[in-house]
Amino acid sequence: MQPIPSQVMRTLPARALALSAAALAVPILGIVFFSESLDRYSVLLWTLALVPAFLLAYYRSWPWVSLALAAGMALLIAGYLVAIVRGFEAPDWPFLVFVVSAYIAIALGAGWIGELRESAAARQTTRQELERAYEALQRSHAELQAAQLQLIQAEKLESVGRLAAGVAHEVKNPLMTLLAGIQYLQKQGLATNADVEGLLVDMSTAVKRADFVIRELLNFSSPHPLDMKANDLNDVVERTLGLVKHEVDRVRITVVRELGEGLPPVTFDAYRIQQVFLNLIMNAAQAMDGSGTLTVRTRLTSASALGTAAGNRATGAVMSNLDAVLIEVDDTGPGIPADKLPKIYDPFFTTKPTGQGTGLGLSVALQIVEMHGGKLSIVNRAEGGVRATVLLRLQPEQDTHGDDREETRPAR
Amino acid sequence: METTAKKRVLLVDDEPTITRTVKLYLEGTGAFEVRTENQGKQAIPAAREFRPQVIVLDIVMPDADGGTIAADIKADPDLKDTPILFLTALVSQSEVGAHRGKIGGHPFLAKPVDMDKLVDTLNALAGGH
Repeated sequence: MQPIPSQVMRTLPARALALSAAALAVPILGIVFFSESLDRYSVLLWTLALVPAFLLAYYRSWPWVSLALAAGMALLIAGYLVAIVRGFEAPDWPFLVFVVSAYIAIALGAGWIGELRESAAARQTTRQELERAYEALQRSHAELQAAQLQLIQAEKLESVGRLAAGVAHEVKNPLMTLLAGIQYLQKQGLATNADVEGLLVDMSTAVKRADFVIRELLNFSSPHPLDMKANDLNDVVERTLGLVKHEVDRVRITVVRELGEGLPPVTFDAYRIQQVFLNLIMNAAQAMDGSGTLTVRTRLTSASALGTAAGNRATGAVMSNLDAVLIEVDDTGPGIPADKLPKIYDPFFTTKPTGQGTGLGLSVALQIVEMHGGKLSIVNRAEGGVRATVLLRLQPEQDTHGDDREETRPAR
Repeated sequence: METTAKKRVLLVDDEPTITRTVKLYLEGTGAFEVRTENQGKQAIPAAREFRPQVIVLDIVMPDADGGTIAADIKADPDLKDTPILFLTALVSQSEVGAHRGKIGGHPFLAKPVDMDKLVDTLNALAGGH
């Protein structure tokens, strides 16, 4: 039997009502006029029970159930008609009722299960569609958020860039006058007592700090093409440690070198990479003012650690494809609070007291590493403190300013 | 103080405070005779008259840029052998490193310049003269 299309079922409520009324009217009339025994009432009850079930099935658009119930009612009515014609002399009313009821029950049950399965499948499909739609929505929401963040970031960088050159010129000239003046006073021995002498030293330091801020700003806002050359990585690390010796001694921390032996030459812009190391080491040193251990580690690794953005060349090669170097700077400081971690690369974000950090150090470091097609990550170590990791290819790909810049950026 | 053979330096910068203080410092060392000029366009006439051993040029000036002045000096038969040192507020010391200290073949220092470094550079440049 073909299931009745639910649209058709829905369009015929009046007919269903008429059918139900007829189904009711016939047995009621039969009982009123021919009632002789209780059996007739039980038949009537069966019929009556079917009517609301039929109406329910009809309005819920369960075609199989509706059909089964209609058929059941028709059989009962037929039975009545037969009984009326025979003057309720039928030999076995209970049997008739049993057969009809059994038929109805089976039809009903089968129809019901069919409906359930069908609606369960429909619900399942709907739920899957809903889940897919939700996932798509979430994805596009995340993409939108990321795009918005990038836009804000780009906007910020552009403003910084526009400002930086102008600010640099306007500020560096007066700084030049100040520095020349201070150094003139120092040179000529015009500092007549220790106070004045100290004052001049402080002024000189202040000028150099202001210059440092401007320089950071310039480096950040107008990155120049890289000067790529083969370098001895450990040599650059040592030179950097030499540059920060004064600061490291000042904060009284221990420096541990775990530099890999026999590292092959690495192609990078030595000045800029040194700037990265300088920023990372200074951050580490300043994070543990007073005591602690700064560990600098270098070793050979595989560029697959750079992730898919760094190309699939390295995929599948485990130990044989050692085409990158890894530089780790560990400190034993207090670590970075979880709520600050996503912001550490933002320009002008700093946790240092005013005057001690520009908030550009990590932004610059990230920019430089990405220009090299490398990866910079900063995490809190399980044992306490922070680990900054720089990954650089031995031979960067041709286009080190590729479009995968954003993908190599750690999660913000 | 020994006064023999002070090195003559022409200092061209549009900021009078800079030319004044740098002149004061350099002359304070006793080793230099400094003439200052605050207008870029006056650099060449001043150089012809003063005959410096080194010309120190600011790059960004309102009336003339240091690069053009340097080119004009190199084109001038009387001045072409005079070493030029650029002072600039636009580039950082890092870029000085990146360019190995040269702009258009001339050495340069980023402002604010450490005076000891300026003295060393001037001595090195004027050494041959």
